[in-house]
Amino acid sequence: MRQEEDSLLVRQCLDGNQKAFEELVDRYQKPVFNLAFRFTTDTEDAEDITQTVFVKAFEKLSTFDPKYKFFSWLYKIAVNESINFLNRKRDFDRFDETLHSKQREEETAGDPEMTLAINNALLELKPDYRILVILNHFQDLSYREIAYILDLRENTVKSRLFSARRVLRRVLMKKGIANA
Amino acid sequence: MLDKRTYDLVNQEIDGANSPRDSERVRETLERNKEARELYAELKKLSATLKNVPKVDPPRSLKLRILNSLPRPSAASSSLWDRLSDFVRIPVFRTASTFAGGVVAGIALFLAFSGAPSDSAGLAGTIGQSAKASARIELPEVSGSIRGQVVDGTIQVHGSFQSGREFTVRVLYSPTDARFVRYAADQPSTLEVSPGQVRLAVRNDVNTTLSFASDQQTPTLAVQILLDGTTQFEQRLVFDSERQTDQSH
Repeated sequence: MRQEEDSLLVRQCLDGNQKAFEELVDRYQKPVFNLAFRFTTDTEDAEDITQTVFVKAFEKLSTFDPKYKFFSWLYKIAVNESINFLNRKRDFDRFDETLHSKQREEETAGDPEMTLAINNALLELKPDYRILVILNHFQDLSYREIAYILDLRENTVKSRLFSARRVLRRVLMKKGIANA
Repeated sequence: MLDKRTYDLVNQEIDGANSPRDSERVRETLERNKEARELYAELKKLSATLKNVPKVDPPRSLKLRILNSLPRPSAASSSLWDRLSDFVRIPVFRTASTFAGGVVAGIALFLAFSGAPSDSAGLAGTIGQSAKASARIELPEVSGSIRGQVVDGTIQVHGSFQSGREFTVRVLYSPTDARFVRYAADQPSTLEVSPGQVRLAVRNDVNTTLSFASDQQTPTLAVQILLDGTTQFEQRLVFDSERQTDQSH
């Protein structure tokens, strides 16, 4: 149902109805922002990435294949942008300093200490593990959807995800969280 | 040590990805294998821990930022662009109307601004089209004014800020309308430029000028003030065209 609605919005947008794109922004800015935020743990960076993702989506809308889910296609752009962003950050040699010094202060819902610890633990994962944990645990995507987004085989997704979990458990255990 | 097949099945069980037959196999394994039970319990706990991490709401200005940075549509389909005129009607931008009189004050301040850039000075005596805009910031921790001017293909945004702390000035613009050229500031500052935005991290009192090249007479620009990464102020710069007959200082 959602998929059909999204495809309709895309068609309307391609027909020149830009209100339809606004609707797509309304629907997906939060998950895209969250994906970027979990990846960078920096609000401003997440905003920048989200902005770029939607601009690219807008520009490439005609290449969207409606046999796939729109959000999977959008996440694909979001993942690529997040990874490119980190690479650019690394180029400037500011990545670690920024990621480890900035934490979102507004994010106080739930247990803030736990959230902070999990954010820091995620940062200790290498990016290709981190993105798998984010897509699986925070975005609730299936192996198949993740495989499409990351251009991997499902079996590769599974084996990397399971390895990522093992590393994450170890990191969290070191931090005294999740007596895993 | 668990074999790979069991390890994978237990992981898949956590993800709800097993077939009924494999789920049954996992249940049987859990009953007789302590190591598998421990792995299952640990993964279950990890999954629950991650699920408890709250989702983060994007700032409400993000949607406008996105729409503002979309490639400008053709005249035949400019409805989205026209919608940007709604910008100032959104509560966060309402300060714009509060300071309707600020445009006049902004022009006066602009004329009084001692650090006027050389480009502007070079216009003395010329006759041409110009557009101006202004905004005033009155936050608990940052105050000041922003004045924009478009003359002969150059947008200049002058900011004069007073603050006792570090803050960020962000100017959002349409990359299809304008291109960032340079900046100047009378205090140490850090500049970051990316498509559609310029971000200047500054501290304490500062006067700054950002210059853009543009062929738009009334470009779409917005200014934000961020404290600790959070947007505290946001206003679109509404450029009013006016005929300039004399720019002499």
